[in-house]
Amino acid sequence: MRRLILALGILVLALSLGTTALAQDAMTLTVLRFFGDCVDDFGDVTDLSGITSECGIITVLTNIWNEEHPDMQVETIVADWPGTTQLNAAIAAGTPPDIAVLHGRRIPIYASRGALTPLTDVMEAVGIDASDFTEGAADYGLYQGEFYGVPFDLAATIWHINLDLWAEAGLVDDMGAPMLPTSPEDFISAAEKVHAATGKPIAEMAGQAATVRSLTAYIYQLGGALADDAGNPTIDTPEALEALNFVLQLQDLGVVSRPYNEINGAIAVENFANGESAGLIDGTWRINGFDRQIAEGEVALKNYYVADFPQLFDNPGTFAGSHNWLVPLGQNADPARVQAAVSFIKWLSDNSVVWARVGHGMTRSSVINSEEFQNLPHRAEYASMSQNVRSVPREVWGNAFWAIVHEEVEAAVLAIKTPEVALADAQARLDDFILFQS
Amino acid sequence: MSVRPKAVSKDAIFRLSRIERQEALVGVAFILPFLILYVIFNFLPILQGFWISLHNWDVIGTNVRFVGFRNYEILFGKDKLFWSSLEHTLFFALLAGPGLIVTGLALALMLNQRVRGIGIFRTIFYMPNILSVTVVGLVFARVFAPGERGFVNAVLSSIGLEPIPWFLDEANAMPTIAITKVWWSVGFNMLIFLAGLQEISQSLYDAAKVDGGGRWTLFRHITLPGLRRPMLFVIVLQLIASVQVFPLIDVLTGGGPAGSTRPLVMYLFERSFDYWQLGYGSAIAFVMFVFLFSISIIQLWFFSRGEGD
Repeated sequence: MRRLILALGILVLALSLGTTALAQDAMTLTVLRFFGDCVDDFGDVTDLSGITSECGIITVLTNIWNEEHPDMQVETIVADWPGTTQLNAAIAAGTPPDIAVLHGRRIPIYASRGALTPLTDVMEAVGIDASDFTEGAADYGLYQGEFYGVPFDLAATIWHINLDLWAEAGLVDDMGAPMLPTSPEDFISAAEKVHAATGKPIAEMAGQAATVRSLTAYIYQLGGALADDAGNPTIDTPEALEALNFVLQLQDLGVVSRPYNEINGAIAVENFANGESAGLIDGTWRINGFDRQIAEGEVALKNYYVADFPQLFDNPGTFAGSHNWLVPLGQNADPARVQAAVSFIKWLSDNSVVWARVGHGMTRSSVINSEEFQNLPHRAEYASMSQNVRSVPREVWGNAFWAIVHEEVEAAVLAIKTPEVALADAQARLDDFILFQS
Repeated sequence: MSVRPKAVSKDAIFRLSRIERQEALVGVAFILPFLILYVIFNFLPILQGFWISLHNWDVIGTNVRFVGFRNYEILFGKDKLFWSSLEHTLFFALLAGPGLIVTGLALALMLNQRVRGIGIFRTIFYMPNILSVTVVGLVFARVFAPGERGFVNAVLSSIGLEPIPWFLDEANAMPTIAITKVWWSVGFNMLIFLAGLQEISQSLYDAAKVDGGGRWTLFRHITLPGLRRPMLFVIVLQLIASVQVFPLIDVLTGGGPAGSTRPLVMYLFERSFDYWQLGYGSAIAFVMFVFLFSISIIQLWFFSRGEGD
């Protein structure tokens, strides 16, 4: 009996030592991300065929990584969009995840506080070629010349078009493509034709956010900027006023629907799918959804086309956000852990062409030029997007800028304030914000 | 006939018998676990919140700098949005509060009947209360959607009336939110009033009827005084809930149009989490706390006057 107990004891000891040794060899990386939770549907899936949703793709990519890298497992923490609440809480508690995804405009404030790990050198070490990022895309990961995020995609504002309704208005060419307007006058003329032929608007705004994104695009197209030379926010400018007046003019003419709040923005999306409007100003993230609905015969929309956001003024300019992978371990993180985290990020970036199935633009020239990318649905239709995108200035006020301008522009859109007063009020609030931060 | 408790002098408390002391200790032991948790999770955070409000303090705990009462100076001195948010909050409380109390009481009176199947009606009227704020928000955003897309506007159009921009007009938005709030939450008040009504002895009504009391007299002199405590409970709770309103407005209007329905808690949230100004947000929170605490004390004093006479 004694011998049996002794043998069992030795066995237990050996097993526990073995397990400990294995645990020491294997590394677990935590990834905090949004894009939803779909473990029930894709928890065990390692085949990417036919998957086009953000949640599905990122879940399966993670599964594949875990299968291929038993020594470096990735554990996902799903956060609510936009992911900042959970990330902030984790950083404040001193337990940040190894990797997180954030919108590029949020990077400067985190980087300025030392919450993010500088990545330029590590990216080079693991083989991420920074020169492969398109010029517009690289900006999203940078702060003061240093990479703090690896840009994964470009989530841009585009024009979703119902070709059947455009054809009714005589606005489809011999090649079957819509005849897109190239000036403000063109735009109004096209809108009037669509309305006369179909009784429907040429574009609906998917919520107030789409209006503000359009406004910033027009400001860029007019040669304006959202920051002055000192890096302070500027919105009370002649270009912003002209852009805002143009947005209001379109709405006053009734050729573009007035935007509603964000819930009613969802109604605008449904209207487009149901053939109630000839176009929708919204993001790249809608493309795969419309394609799926059409394929399943769920909606009245049949001939769907994706156009670049229209360039109506002298300069190219499209609003885009960008999902960036970053390492929120601070300035003095363990180099081995950072390298491991960036290895996973590199792997995601190398496989980003799969992510493009959602509809998002890509950030790397090598991916954009790949055959797999070029063969994705609609890609040729909005090919200029990646070159035209402009990021919100890389300043710590990026987030506040967005919230304040959103509210003041809404006041102008709803005729609560004149455009001049709305922009002046926005500027005053931004100036207050800068003063408070100093 | 009411019996007044004997007045106990302070000295008497210290002259407790051994058994009484043991009973007191048992009592303390019973409330101690709650007290400890209350201090850790409520009282200390309030103190810490006040401490943070005396600083510039990023939401992630960086950039911490002591600024004394500067946040309060800005808050009371030149922050127009703080005052407008306070105004919106009080306006909401003024709209939703009486609606919730009067409707809750009316429903309770209607449902305080001994008829067959009354439980079904009680359940139906209480049911909205169990829905999550997101569900209520999404449903009512469609009920009051602009143009003819909304259910209410479709009904208005069908009888030849113009659609109303419920959530897109400064004047309409807050009353529409208040209507939604009443529909959603009135069931809880109804339940409290119903419980209160069932505590009132039927013999009081019978006696009053013998004396020739009419319905209004019975309500005025028996029902309302009998509901004094539930009424106090509901009013205090409603005031606190109204001042703390945030998720419902966030889902329905996001504080719009153009900030015209932004309540104080939403402003606090924006400053703390969107702008990273946790110190300033904490100053707003502390002002709210003092305001609510004072109002609640005044209400308690007001309603407890004359009790026991």
